[in-house]
Amino acid sequence: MSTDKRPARPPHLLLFLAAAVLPPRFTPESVRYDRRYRTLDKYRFIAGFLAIPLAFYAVFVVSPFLQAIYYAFTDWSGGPVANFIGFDNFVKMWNDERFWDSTVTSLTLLVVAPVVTLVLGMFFAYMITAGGRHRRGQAIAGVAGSSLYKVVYFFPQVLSVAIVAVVWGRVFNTNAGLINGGLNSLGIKGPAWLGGEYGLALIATLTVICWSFVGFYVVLFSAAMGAIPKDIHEAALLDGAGRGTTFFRVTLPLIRDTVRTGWIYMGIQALDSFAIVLVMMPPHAMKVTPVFLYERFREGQFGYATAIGVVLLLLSVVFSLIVMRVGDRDRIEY
Amino acid sequence: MATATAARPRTTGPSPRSPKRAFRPRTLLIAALAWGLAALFLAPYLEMVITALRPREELRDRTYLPSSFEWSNFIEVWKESTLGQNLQVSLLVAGGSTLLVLLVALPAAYYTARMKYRGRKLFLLLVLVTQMFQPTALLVGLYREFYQLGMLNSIWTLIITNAAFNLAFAVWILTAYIGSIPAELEEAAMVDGTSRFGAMIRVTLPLALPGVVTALIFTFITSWNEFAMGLTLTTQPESQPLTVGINNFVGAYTVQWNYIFAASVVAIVPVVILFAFIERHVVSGLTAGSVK
Repeated sequence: MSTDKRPARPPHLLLFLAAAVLPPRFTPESVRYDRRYRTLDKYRFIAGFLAIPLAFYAVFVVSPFLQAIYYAFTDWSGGPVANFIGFDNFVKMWNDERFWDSTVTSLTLLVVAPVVTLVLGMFFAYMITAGGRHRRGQAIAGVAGSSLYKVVYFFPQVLSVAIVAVVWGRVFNTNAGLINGGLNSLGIKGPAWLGGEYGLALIATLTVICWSFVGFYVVLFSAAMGAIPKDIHEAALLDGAGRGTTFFRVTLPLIRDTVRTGWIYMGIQALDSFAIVLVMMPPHAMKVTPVFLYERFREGQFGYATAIGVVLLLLSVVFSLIVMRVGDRDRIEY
Repeated sequence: MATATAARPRTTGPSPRSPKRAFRPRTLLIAALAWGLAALFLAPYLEMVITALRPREELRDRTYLPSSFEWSNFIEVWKESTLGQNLQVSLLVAGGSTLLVLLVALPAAYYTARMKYRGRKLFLLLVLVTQMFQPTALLVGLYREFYQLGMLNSIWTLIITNAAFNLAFAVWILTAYIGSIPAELEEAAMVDGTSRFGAMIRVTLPLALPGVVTALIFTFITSWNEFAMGLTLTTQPESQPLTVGINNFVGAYTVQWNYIFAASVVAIVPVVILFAFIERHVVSGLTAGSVK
């Protein structure tokens, strides 16, 4: 009976176009029962559901990115003219001492901040999931009040970096800061943390980065550790492994993928510690590459600033590729 | 070391001694250390609230507690600065971009979770890669784009950029969340005569609500806290979001920490309230795509 509905000739292409625009209930019968209608239906869905986000990405993420690559090779300074000048911006950068100073700082943060933050995050996560007293019938147990700790550690992650920077600027303040106040009561004269020695400023920045990101990794790693079946830990315990051995021989290899993802993410965050350094540091003190970029941007050297941005992106891509290669072994399934 | 290894089998094995109330010195030490560390993590907040309430004359004192709490700091900062306008901009930007993300990310995530289309992997990869772009590297490109459009200082500029930057995360979480809801439920509804759209609205959406709420609140919080875009794409003090407004205090009133922190406390309050709502979902939501 249903064969009656199928026309002898396939419907006209125009009908297809009309059906693509109109709501489904107005689709002509001749089109609906055509073989090609399935394809049409599929692409209509794609157009409606995916085109808008894709357009968003194209205009506000991909396009500024491509423009940045182009303007890195121009001398654009905000006016209507942007002359193509080849690699001049990059040559200028190579010879610019301030660029190297800020980039050495950024690279130091890129190497040190992920290691410190991830090790701390892993330690806290392990304490939270497996650091508690051994109870009967349970191979591993978290410390008491573990959910409270998670909230306490995680909270800086939902604060604005601008506020984090302002608060820590006050904590590190030479005269009225929390730290120097504490040192003072012990009879020690506190140093100028931010505007003084380079090493102290670096330590201060690292402290702030760790403080604000460690909570994210505590939550991430404790979720990953929680996903490991309990019997694996039980087996390790029965074999006589202590907490340390269990961690290095059992837990760590099993969450290696999560650690690597976290490492990449943290490295990119450390490389982009823009707001923290810009707001917290006095203008003459230590700088990182994004702050150096921002200063050139404020001076109107837009071409130069985009060139720095391109270098920054390249650095983060290289970093990600290196970390992805580190310890790339077969995944352990459980 | 010997005592530790000797003690372990006793507490784990089927020993008759109950370890219920066995407070050993080591446990106490670890607990004290943990509490101390938590206090260390909390100290900056305390400093913020106390400084916000400090009288002006005592700002340079090294005492931890001021002699009296000055509540009028909040009223004065409100009167003397553009804080009111900044607050309005922040609310509009965060609210607007959250709405925009909901409208754009939900259909995309639904489609990606339910359909096997060509380029699905590519789409998810694009979402991940854009997440990795540093905003700072895109600053000048974005500035150029909105400069050409004549949209610098416009509130729409901030709404759109914040939405675009949060889209990736929202799509990622929602795809994972919707993907975990069995498609059979929708098929059952469709067999009963609902359209695909109706099945999505009436069956999948209510089930995915915790995930949707988490994604939206996260978008709101990130847009509310956004700093770098607000700093570069706006130039007039009254069209800047709150975070940039606070940064302006640092330049203009370097000594007046009490105003900076009064403004910071105002900026944190909505975040604290919203975070309290999603705190339970944070673990499941954040790790939906990354763990296993």
